[in-house]
Amino acid sequence: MAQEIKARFRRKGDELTVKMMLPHPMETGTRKDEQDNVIPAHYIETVSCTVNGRPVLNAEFSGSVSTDPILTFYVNGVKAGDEVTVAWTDNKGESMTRSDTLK
Amino acid sequence: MTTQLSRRRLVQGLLAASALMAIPFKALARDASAFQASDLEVALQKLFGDSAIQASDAIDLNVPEIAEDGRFVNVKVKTDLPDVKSVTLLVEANPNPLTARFMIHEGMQADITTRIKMGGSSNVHAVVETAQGVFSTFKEVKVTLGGCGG
Repeated sequence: MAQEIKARFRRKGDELTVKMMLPHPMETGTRKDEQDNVIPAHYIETVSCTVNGRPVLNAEFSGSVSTDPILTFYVNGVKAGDEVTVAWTDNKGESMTRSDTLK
Repeated sequence: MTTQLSRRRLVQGLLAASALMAIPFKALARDASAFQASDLEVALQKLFGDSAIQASDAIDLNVPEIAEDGRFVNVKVKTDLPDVKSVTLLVEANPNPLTARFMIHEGMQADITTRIKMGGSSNVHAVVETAQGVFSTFKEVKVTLGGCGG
C-alpha cells in the first residue's frame, strides 16, 4: 500500500518553495534478494505539480532516482488560497495525490 | 451562406482547439525507448533527435565530487537560460543513463533538487532544452559504494 506524499509548501510573497518526499521503494528491477531472486521493477514513472489545476511541473523518473525520492523546486506567481496538487504514478499503476491550499 | 460560413468557422475552431490540446498530451507522453537506452548517446538521440547539443557554462550542476553512497547522490540543477522547456539528468555509466526528466511549465523556475542512484563513478549530465536550443553540462562524481545491483 502506497504511503502518503510528504510535502512542505512555503510561500514568500508570490514565490512558492515546494519540498516533497515520495515514499516509494524505487526498485530498478536489477537487484536480487537473499535467495538470488530478481526483485521486480517497481518505481515511480511520473510526478506532477499543478497550481489551481494549471500544470507547472511534469517529471518522468527511471528506477535510478533514489528510494523515497525527494524533490525541491520553486514556483512564481502564487498567492494565498491557491490550490497546489502534487501526484505520482508508478510502473505498477499505483498512484498518490495530495492537495494543499496555500496560506 | 451565413450558415456555411459559421460551420466552417466552427470546424476551424475545433481543429485549432484539438491541435492545442494535442500539445500537452504529447509533452506528457513518457518516452520509454529513451529510458531503456543503455547508451548515453542513444538516449540523447531519442530525446532530442538531431538537435545539436551545445556545451554551456550557463547551467549550474551541483553534485558532490565524491559520493560515499551511490544509492543517494544529491543533484541540484539551476540555470538562468531563458525559456526553459525541460531539464534532463543522465548518469553516463549507469546501465540505463536516463535518470529523470523535468518538464517545466510557465511559472516554474529552472531550479530543481533531487537525489539519484549511481552504480559507480561516472559523469553526470544535465541537459537543458530551451526555446533557443539544447544545452548541456556534466560533472564527474566518484562513488565509493555503488547504488545499483548492490
